[in-house]
Amino acid sequence: MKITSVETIRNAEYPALIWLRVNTDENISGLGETSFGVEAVEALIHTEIAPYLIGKDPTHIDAHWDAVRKFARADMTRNTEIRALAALDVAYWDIFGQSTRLPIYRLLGGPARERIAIYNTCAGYHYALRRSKNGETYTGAGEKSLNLSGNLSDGTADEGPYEDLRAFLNNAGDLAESLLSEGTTAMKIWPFDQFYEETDGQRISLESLKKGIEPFEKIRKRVGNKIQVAAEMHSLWSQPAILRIAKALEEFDLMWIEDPIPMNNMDALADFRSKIDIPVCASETIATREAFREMFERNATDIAMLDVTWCGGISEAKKIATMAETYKLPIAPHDCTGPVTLMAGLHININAPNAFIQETVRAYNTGWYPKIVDRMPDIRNGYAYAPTDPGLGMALRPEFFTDPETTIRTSDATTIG
Amino acid sequence: MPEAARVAQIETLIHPDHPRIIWVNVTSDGGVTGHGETFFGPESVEAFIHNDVATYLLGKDPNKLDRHWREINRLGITNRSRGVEMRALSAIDMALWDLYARRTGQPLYQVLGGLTRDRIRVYNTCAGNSYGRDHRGLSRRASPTPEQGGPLDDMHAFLTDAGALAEELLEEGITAMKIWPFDQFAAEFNGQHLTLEQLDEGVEPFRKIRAAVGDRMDVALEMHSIWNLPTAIQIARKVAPYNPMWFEDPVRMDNIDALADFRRHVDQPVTASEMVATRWHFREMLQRHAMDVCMFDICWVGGISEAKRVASMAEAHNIPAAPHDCVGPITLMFGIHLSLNLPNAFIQETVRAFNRGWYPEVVTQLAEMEDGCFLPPEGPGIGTTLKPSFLSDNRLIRRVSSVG
Repeated sequence: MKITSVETIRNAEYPALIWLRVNTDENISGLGETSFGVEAVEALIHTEIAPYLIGKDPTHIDAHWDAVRKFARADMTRNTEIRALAALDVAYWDIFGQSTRLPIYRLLGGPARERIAIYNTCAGYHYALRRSKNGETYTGAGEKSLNLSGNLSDGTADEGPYEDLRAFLNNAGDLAESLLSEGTTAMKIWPFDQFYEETDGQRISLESLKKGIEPFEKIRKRVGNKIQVAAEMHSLWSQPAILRIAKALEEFDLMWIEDPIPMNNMDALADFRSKIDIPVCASETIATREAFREMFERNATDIAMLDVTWCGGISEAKKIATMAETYKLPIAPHDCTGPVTLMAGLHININAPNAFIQETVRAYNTGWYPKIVDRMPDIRNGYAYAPTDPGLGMALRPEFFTDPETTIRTSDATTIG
Repeated sequence: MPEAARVAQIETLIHPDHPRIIWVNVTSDGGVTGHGETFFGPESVEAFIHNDVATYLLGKDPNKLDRHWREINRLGITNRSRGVEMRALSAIDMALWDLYARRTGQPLYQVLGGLTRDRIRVYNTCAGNSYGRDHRGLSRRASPTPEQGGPLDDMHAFLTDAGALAEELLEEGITAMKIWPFDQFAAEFNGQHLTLEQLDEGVEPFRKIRAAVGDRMDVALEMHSIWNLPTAIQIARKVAPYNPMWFEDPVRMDNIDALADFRRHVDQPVTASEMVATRWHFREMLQRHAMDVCMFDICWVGGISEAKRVASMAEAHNIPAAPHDCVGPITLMFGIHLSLNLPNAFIQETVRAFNRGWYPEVVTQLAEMEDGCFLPPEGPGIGTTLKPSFLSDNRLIRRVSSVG
């Protein structure tokens, strides 16, 4: 089998997402996806990677990873090069699965479970990746992830019942009950982000601290321990600020505290972990097995979070999961980005013996994901079930290609010179 | 302190004769322009600058240099990366500091803290004029075939007649050189192994240099992070009897424990790494005693401000700093300014084939060299600008983002 062309696909409604299709001479196409800095990812794929890839066998997955990674040099983070590599890697596995007529998790070593528990990441329909409701231009990853309320006060009607970000900020008890009524028994919220700007994350005042813990108090008051709660910190805080926050959260028996500080100093992360009583979870922001090795070696985390389309693809996620096992650590695949990321993470989660929970966003799953892809994972009553179709188990909808807001760029033998 | 101003325009330039470089110009509303530059994947750097960075930076006060570094670093959702995002930030940081120095009418070395020395010794990186320009991305061959013959084809020279090359460099007053004679053997075992014959052949240039000039020439071995740990150690042991100036980038820089292990197994200095970016990654390397010489490339590490911060951290560990240049004329000029300023600098990399080959086609002037040392550049900022004849080449791919 040979790769005949690579297409990158973008759509103005989702300015932070990019999909790609790797097409072959055997009428099989693989789907990949990644997010953020998408123009740079697209440019890199077509100018630097496609000349290598066209004509190669897509099932030589490890060789392609090694070759493309060498080009990226000493990188341990989700930069443009690694995100491009990750998107391609998912596409190769999709092809491999389709050509062998097996779902990806079967090729990874089979299922460790039939289904995996989910938690709801409490984002609303427009959080982070989509064009904002008033049509503003997307302004970059950092600002968008802090955009807690940017789209909430514009007076437009809710897109659906799951404006979960507004819910966790204002009536977290109701939100917890709503999730429990659907069978979902775990949730993740981030009520401290709003206090970052006061001091660029260097300090948190006692008043802000009190306001930040309110959602946790409301949840425990309403539903007690029936729901697991994780606190997401988005790497915003200095050491003293995050220690103050974490200490105040200890009483709530959290499932984990995630990305407390920027992931550029694993000794600092280990220091944080040594001083608090909450399991530490990190990090969707690092990539490659080398970065996770360093984190594990420094005893810096309790739970290894990884994002398949940021950490280096299915291949790398599997290697990281295996390494985590040797350190007695579980993995927790991330999704708050796109449908392919969700599905790819699910394959890892069904296969890996040391997985225990799958991240999902109900607003995305019921809102815009199904507009993009033809099949969604089977998620019901608090569980995601093992995918059944060969390969990844989803493809872009045909109408997505002909949408006037979609732009496609193609590399093939004629364009690579 | 210069009066209030705004960033009015960001311009990127890519030229087909230099397929791996992108030049970045940042212009203030007062009409002053600062220059930056970076290397690798220029189209993706261009995309990131115009789609992500420009939206942030246009209209902002160019004096807030440290704030812009932090904010643009956060745009790229990465940590310690040397990827597209960091290369873009590096070029922008360079341009902003050049702009700042020009607006205050000072040479860059003065803005950095003044001259610590009045000249900086160089070593010659033995590349030919087309090195790095004749291939791109993943299509790069693991063991580049040297271009044949011609004066200043230093790579061909070190592979075939290293003794004569050393003599020629000494005649020019250059007393240190860097070579990479083992790269050509990387492809066969993918960097996992070398045969005894390959080791013998790789060490030949060192033998020839010592035979020709004795100890008058310092010789550094560049290893380009190609090797696994045992092979890197094996190479170092083979070269050790010739007293190399340093071993550079033996393994890939994503496992600092492995680098520290390499260092414990060798007797000569270990230099790392142009492939590392940000103070956080260097902190890790310094903390683990993983190198003896702190090398960085200003257009990869995070710009001139990050280079200064990294060099200061190295100083706290009693480690000297050595700016890299095998990239472009703007990076070289920034390196010279920094090497003249840093208390812990001692040598500046340069490629004589570039200095006398394509660099003068792109920039108006380079620093003067005397007796194997660069002298302080003249004029405000970095002391050079892009040549009008280069700017008017209609093959140049120019993209501009401006306010309003």
